[in-house]
Amino acid sequence: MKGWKIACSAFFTDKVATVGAVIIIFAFLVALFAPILAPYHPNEVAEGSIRLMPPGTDGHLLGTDQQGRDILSRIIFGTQTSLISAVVPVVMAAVISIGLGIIAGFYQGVVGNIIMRIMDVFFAFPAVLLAIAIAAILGPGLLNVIIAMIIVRIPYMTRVVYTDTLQESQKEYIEAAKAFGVGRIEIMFKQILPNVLPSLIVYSTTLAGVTIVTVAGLSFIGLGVQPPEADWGRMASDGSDLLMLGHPFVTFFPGIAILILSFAFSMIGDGLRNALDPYERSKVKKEKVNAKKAMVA
Amino acid sequence: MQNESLLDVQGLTKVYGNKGSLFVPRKEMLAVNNVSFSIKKGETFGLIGESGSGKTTIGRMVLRLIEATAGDIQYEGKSILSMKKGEMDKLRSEMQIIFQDSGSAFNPRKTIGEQILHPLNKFHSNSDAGYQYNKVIEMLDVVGLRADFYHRYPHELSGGQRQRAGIARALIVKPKFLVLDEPVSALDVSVKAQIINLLIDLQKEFQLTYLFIAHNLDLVAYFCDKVAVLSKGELIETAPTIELFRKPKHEVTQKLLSSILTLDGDLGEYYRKQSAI
Repeated sequence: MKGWKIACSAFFTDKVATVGAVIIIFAFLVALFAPILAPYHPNEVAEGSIRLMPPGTDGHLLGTDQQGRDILSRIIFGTQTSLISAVVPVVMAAVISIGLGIIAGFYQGVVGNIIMRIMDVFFAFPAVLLAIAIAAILGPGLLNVIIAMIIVRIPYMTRVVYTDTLQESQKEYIEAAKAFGVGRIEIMFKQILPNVLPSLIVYSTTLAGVTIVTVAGLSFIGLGVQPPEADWGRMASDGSDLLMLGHPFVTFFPGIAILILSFAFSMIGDGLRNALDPYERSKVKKEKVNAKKAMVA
Repeated sequence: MQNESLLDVQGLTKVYGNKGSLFVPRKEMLAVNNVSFSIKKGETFGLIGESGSGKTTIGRMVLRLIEATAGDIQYEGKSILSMKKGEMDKLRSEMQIIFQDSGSAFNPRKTIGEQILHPLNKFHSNSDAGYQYNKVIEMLDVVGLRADFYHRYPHELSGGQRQRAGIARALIVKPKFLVLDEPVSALDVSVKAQIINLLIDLQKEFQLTYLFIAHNLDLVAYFCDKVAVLSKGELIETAPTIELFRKPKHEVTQKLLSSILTLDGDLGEYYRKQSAI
């Protein structure tokens, strides 16, 4: 069996991870087919411009917002920005961090010190504050918020890669590789990388969930997605004034959507790690065999 | 042929430490101090010392896994310390190493087969995949492992099996010289004997020369032709094994000998009695 097939079958034995994966795949499909799925255009004002219709109203399943736009349609279209803001910054930051962290951890010395001290400077600021500052300098807009999130996440992820690389490069299999003349680049990216990747993946999925919330927060204070474009954070923020006025659903539904998606990302983390680790995989296999034996007995 | 020396080490020195900077005071540690020895072809040379005596550092310097601070290492008359990377890499197929901790000697995310194949691929990249696969299976058989170990991951093997796989990985490129860095000190007593016997058999089969590094004299009498005792980075005694066991000159050697327990008291005493008779 091919390696990725084994990994897949190991992943789907993890029920929690499978649920997370199903939610994320569902979200991707919704984002992809938003124009077909959504009953209305996200910015279209309902007929007779009836504002704040409660959920369940005929034709508007989740009701309408303060401008009379269909909330369900806006949530469906908002999936696009939410997924982009979760996946793009984390993947980009992970790729950059792998490079920086492995080089810093493998070479240590001057190179490692320079890289890690620069990262320490970023650690001096709270991540969200830094993101706000960067996004404010670059100007509002989804792209700039994504750039800000990439910059903010790099120090954290680089630390994770760096620490793991330090540990791995002391192991004897690295020396064994050196003993038959394997080059440094190959050692870093073929020997060390597969061993540091799993913990980074788990961390990335957690960060993806947090990033959705942070980007929603940046939209909330007006730095992210600009109106009238549909975005969950923006919708939650716009509805916040109405929370106490008897129209909580304007904030409630986008809030739930943020919660579910960020939760789904956290759920796949452990499953992915186990799927990539031969040791964990064989443990899962053993448990399965034991369970079968118990069934027979 | 037997008397020709394979490896000559002259005045080998290693200093660990930092040059010092604004925040870090200058600190130096002499790990290996002016060590000289020579290993003949087909010989098993024991390098014995307590932990921290620099024996592992010497083993690594001989293979240029650690760069020496001073001294000269000649392999078949060629000075390897002055070799460029390309030249050295060619030579690496002739000198290999077996590690103490077989658990960390293999990459946990690659199968045993892949990892034994890797050096073969490195040195004979032009041969086809089927031939290489057969070579690996053949080598697994030589060290006493079944062919189905090819697809196993390191954690699925016992310590002894992993050590066998480590030997297979080193031998697949047909080296002449092996550094055995405490190859059995992490293993059970019964497995220890199996691995040592395997190493002795392989030495005959492939005409290997061994540098055997250990922290005590347990297996030395059985395994080594010549022994060098290290203490605090310095070579204090070098002698043929029998001579060293019979007439240990240095205090440290005597202490090492006394630490081997036998039924009739310590082994040092046993050998002294033997030579007195």
